[in-house]
Amino acid sequence: MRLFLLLVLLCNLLVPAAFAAGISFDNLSSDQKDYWLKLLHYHKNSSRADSEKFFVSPMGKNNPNAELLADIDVFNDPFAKAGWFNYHPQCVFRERFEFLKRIGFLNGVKEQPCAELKEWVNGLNAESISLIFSSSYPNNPSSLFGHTMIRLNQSGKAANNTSDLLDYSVAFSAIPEHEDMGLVFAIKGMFGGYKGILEITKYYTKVNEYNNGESRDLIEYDLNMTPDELHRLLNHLWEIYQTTYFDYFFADENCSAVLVDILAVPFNHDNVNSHARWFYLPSEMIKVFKKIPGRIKSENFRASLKKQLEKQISIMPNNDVSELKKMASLKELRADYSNIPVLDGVISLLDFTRYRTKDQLTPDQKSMFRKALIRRSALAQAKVTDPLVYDQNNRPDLGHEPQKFSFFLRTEEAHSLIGVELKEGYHDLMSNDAGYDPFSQFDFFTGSLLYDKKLNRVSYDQLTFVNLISLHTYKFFDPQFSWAAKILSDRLYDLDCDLCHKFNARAYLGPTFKPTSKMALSLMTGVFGELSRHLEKGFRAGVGMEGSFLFQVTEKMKIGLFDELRFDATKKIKKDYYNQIGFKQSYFTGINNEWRLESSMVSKFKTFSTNTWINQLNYGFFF
Amino acid sequence: MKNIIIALLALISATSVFAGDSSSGCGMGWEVAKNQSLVSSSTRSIVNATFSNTIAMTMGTSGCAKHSIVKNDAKGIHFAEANMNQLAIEMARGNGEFVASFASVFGCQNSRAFGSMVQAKYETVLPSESTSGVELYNNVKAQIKNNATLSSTCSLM
Repeated sequence: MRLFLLLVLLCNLLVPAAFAAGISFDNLSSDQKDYWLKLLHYHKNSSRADSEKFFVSPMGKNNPNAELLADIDVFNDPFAKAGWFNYHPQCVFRERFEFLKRIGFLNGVKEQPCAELKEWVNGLNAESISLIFSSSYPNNPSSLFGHTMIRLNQSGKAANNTSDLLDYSVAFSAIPEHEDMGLVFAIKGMFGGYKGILEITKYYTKVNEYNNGESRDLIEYDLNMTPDELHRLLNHLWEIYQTTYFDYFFADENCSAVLVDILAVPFNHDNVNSHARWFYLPSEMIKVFKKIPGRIKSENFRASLKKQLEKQISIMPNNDVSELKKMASLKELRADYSNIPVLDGVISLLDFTRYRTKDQLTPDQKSMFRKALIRRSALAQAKVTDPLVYDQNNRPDLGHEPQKFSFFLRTEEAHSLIGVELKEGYHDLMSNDAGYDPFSQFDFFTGSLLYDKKLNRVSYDQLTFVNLISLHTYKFFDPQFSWAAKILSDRLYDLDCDLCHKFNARAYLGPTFKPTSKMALSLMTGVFGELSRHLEKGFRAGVGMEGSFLFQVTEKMKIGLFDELRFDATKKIKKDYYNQIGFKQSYFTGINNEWRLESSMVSKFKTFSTNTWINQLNYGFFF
Repeated sequence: MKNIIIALLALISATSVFAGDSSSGCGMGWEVAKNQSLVSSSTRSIVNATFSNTIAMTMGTSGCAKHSIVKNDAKGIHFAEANMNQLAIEMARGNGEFVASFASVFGCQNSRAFGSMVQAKYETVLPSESTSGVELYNNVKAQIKNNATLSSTCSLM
């Protein structure tokens, strides 16, 4: 009997009171279940939140019902504590508390005072939010995907004459524990090893960091939202901020993937976080909000420091530009110098140089900078003018989807072939640049299959692991080279060999000039390596060079001319070479549809005479 | 498989962008770890002023604060510390978004008059390249008090 009573007592202690009251996850409506899972950041039966402090139940990460029951219990316990700072659970898990109260699971519960939460909400003073998209970091394709954050817009900005700079921003960022460099950093980013946290800072720090420090455009999407949506968002931000981190993975648990899961709480009926791909891109978050009728109220474009300087120089007369270049390299400034546009140009140029060189101005540049500022302060006050108009073609909502499926018809000399290609991502030189940095390429994991009618054989055509090209414009104020790198397996066309393949890698570097914003002319050189059993020694390696000309003829058409010459240095470099020249045309019939006509000629190894003519018609759609 | 693919991509591209980043962000970083952020690159250390622990904690901007709301009495100092580069330029021109925001942290509705004042007193409020944010803030505050128009219209003075 005593044993039985003891068991009953134990059961009462172990089984939450909520369970005893018949409350359970299964009894929630479909909408309520969905909301509860969003609050807990569940994906495929498990929560992505990784701190145990995010869960009251030890089973909360994998069992939403256990968490529901445990939460109800602690919300009823006046002495319970939770989170990093041991506040009452009602104050820490505020949105969970209010949700459960709304649906009648906390009737009669005594509400606890939450002074810190109130102070935080009052300090934020938010009345709405904006989604912020940062474009890529120039000449750095790994940032090609961009970045997202949200801005909490203060109430009464117009009445108080305050700017967006003084708002708070919220970003999800990974925090490396050590000074990990490149490779370690990349591997940890892929396989886990870093923790991501919510970072809440003044928006001006982000404008400085992205717009100025990294010369990235910031595109701001102001949202329409109800007070209730804002209230629930702040509650949820607070409960994350007080309790948890998320393991950070570049592909699918990155800055935007976690942020959109947070936004799925206030916008719970908008289905904003479907996570349909195995990776999640910052542009995807913007696109999904853009598609919701009436959700985006207005948009604003903050041009990067580099674009501002470019624009400033572009509207100066040529002789002023010459004077600006000359002055920026001088040690002394005339005491009576009074050409304001040139002086402003010198200041902007040296400011940009300071950021570009990571604060490594020469003593002469520093001296000139200071003198120019002092001299400028003695001249007329800058007028308030209409905002300059910038090219906004890199807005993410304009861009095609990242994955692509293509069909192609091809001739290779007397061979007729048909094939298909699947590209996991992301954007190449001949794609429509709308929504992307113009003349950039970051292709990864692409494969194609073809059928050769003459040989009656099916074979793979090419397998691309990665193919990067960054055509960075070489300018006097930003003298950086473009570069290209690729690792893939593709066809061997310079020998008489049907459906033969080679492993192919290269790393090139060189200048690019853009006579207009729609045109790019590039010449790069570097090293290459090829492996194939069809080659005489099984491999070739040496020096290669590639020239390219790209022209966006109209919004719907782009052309490209490419020529690559490779010298095999493992033998007689002067005689062992081959050349490939190609002409490509793209026609964009929609954001996600394109046709391509390509024609190229590969020379016979050791000569410039034709070995293989290749002509191809290709239709592709992005998804 | 996807990890292998991404790792290959990252090997190619991550080396430069992720190297040497240092962050002065707020939040729960103190509980997890400090130092770096994957989403920005090495320029952060020069675009965000490095706040001392004492100042940051006082202002509620350090990772050790219970939340990162900048306290009212330190908004101006925080703004000046974080935006020295932009302020130095825009004050010389007497106009700009950062100067207008700086005016608003002093409660000055007339940002044009504020811009004119800091431009005219440029070498007084920014006496050298190494002027700190706190010094700039205090110098500007002193000049507002000395300015008949601004001292009567800037609400936080």
